[in-house]
Amino acid sequence: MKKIKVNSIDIIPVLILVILVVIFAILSGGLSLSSYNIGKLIIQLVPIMLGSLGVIFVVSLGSTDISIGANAAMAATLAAMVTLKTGQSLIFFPLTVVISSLIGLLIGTIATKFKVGTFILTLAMLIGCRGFLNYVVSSVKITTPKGLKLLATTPFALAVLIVSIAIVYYVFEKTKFGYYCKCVGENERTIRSVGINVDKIRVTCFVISGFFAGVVGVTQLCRVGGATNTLCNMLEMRVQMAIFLGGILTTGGFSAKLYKAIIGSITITIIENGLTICGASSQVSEAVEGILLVAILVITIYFNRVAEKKVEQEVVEELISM
Amino acid sequence: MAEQEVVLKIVGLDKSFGITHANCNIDLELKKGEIRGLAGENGSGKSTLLSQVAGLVPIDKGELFVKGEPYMPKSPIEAQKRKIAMIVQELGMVGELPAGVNIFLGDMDKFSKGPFVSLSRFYKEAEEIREKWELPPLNFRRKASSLNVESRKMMELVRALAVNPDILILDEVTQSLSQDNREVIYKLIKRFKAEGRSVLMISHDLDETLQVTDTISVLRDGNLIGTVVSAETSETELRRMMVGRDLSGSYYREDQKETHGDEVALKLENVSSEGGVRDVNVQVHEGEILAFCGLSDSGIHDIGQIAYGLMKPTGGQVILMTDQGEEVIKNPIQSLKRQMAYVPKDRDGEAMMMKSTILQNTVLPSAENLEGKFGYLDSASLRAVAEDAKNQFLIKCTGVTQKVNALSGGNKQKVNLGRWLVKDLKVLIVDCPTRGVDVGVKAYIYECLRKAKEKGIATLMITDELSEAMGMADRIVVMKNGVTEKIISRNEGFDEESIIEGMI
Repeated sequence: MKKIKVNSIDIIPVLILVILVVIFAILSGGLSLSSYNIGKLIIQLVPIMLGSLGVIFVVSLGSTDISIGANAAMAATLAAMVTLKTGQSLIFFPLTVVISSLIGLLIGTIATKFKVGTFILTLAMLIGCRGFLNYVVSSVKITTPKGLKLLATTPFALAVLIVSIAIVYYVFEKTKFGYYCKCVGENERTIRSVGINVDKIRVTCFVISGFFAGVVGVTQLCRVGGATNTLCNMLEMRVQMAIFLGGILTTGGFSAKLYKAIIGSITITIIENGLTICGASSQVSEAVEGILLVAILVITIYFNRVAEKKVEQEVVEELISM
Repeated sequence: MAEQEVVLKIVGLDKSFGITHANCNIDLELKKGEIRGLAGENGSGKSTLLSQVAGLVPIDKGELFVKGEPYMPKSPIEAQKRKIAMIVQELGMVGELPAGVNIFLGDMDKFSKGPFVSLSRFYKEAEEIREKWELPPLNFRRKASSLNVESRKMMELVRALAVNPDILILDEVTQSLSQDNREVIYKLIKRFKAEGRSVLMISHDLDETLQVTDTISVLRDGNLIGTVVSAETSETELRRMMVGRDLSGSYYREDQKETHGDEVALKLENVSSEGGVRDVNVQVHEGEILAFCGLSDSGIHDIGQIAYGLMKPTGGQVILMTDQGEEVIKNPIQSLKRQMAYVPKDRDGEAMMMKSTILQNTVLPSAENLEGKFGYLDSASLRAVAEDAKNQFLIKCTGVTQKVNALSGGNKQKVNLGRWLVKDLKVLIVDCPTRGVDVGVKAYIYECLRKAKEKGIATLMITDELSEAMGMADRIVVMKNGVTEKIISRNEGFDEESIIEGMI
């Protein structure tokens, strides 16, 4: 029999999620588990989870991408403009992801060629894209192109999400590419000295991140009914939070697992949705959300330390006993 | 000579980590001006013993006396107050701070004026210490993380000397140093002795231990087996004490002939580098072990990186012979595809992903070959590769999913080398392959190199250890200041004197 060893650190995010579900169910008198609310929950969940599917690649390298919200909004808005002009509604989806992937390509290329830190680089990209979006939105009115009602429906969003999860699971967990991504996060010098093209891997990861930003952009623009300057606002931060809540380390590496991003995405959605359904006013709810997030992160990091200490102790014992 | 004063006395020291007994009832006396070596295999309790003396590891049981007074250090700071300083095996510096600041981290108050700290005084004082002890020039203003292993070791040495120690503890300090810096350490030790200060040192290099120390204490499984006078013992005798059984005196090649295939496998043509390598021309044949010897600035380490395509040569080229003819090596991506291998010198920092498992580390060079359709990696075949390496190279571990940082130095090196040797190789480049491993693993690594030779693999061995080069190589390339000084064949017989002469 294969012995299954569960790491305490891996189980903590799951426990926190379960506890949150129970607490909100009690506080809302069961309302949070009603089918109406679950439907709403899914709608809130889709953009965060889709976003994290792309960002997890970048995070596994030990890098960050906080440009995805702005990238999503800008790509979808530009694509909608073109679609409205040409009247070819079918091109909206593909055009969005092409634009957003190109922005990812640009970020990745700058990051590798000029060795710019990815946090500051994607922050600059965020500001730039948002600025551009503000300009466009204030000068033209952009509505969802006609004939794209389907894209705004929950079943469509769910279908896109499920297919995306399946593909990302395969690529991230089962292929050479996914393995290399995590190796870069573990020790970039190692994989470089073995003879793997790290630059190509990094650029590809940013393209993937951009691609999923585009997918989010499509679903969100259609749902809102047109481009606004708050489209996908703060999406990048929610996604980052989701990834770290799930227990993935900022250093990336083999701690990056798809299921963790999924759990983290659900956790942050449950918190936001739970606070609303418990009747917290919008002024209060964000503050409470912040406090909750800090508390969860502290708990996760505390247990992480404990687990690490345990490993260190084992290491010492191991070395001594050999 | 009159009975010398005892500076450190250890009585009945006992230390356990959980169920493992690291030090069992150890008694030890260190005299004023005595240079004491500690020998023992990995895990025999040498480092644990010295870490307790230096206040890095708490003492469970037993008594310590420094110059006759009771001594029970709870921290390195307390040890420093009693003038005991240790340089540890792992590099301990704050990477983002300048090296000069690192040196006085424990002593900040000395440099403070109100809330401010005077940086220039740090550098000045560090420089004074360096000069006082005649260490090579160092740039204290550089960030610690930007220094190479050697400079960092020297910085740590300055840090230890800053407390003006009466007892200096060196844990595997020379293993990461090249010959010229080792000489600096030897000189320092001599001066310590002359000034009536004492040294406690651990080194895996028995030859070095014998030459540098006055006495050697041997540990095995946490017990002190005995203390011998260095001048009256031999390497074989020490090894017998360490292992508790006889190990054959030599683990090197026994033949004295240059033997290899006729075909050239890899050529360096007029290779130069930014680091100072100039116009190096060498060829390595199939089944040949070609060793590169030289001081740290001789460019031998550059040669390895250039040969694998990791470093762009500023002139000349590296040519690999393939079935399709000659091929110029331009980057490591190509080298990997063409069945070449590179084992870097900096094992923990560069070669390994320390926090990952044995499996994740071993499959790295093989992933390209294991890849299926759509980049699919079958976890069963990955596991098979890792298990194969583990069994073939007798890696001591609880399983292939054990993390690499939980392995001993020797076993890490087995992973490091084994993951390449499970592949079908043409060229193997190893940089200091036996650095910091104990005699057992060392012998084993030589055995692996011999097998690789039999298989017809062309090996480029870059090494700091002359005895290793003379023991294993078919030809030795002696380098000095980036230039090939001479190339000696095994047929001529290797003469240590003449090789060293070429190096300096």
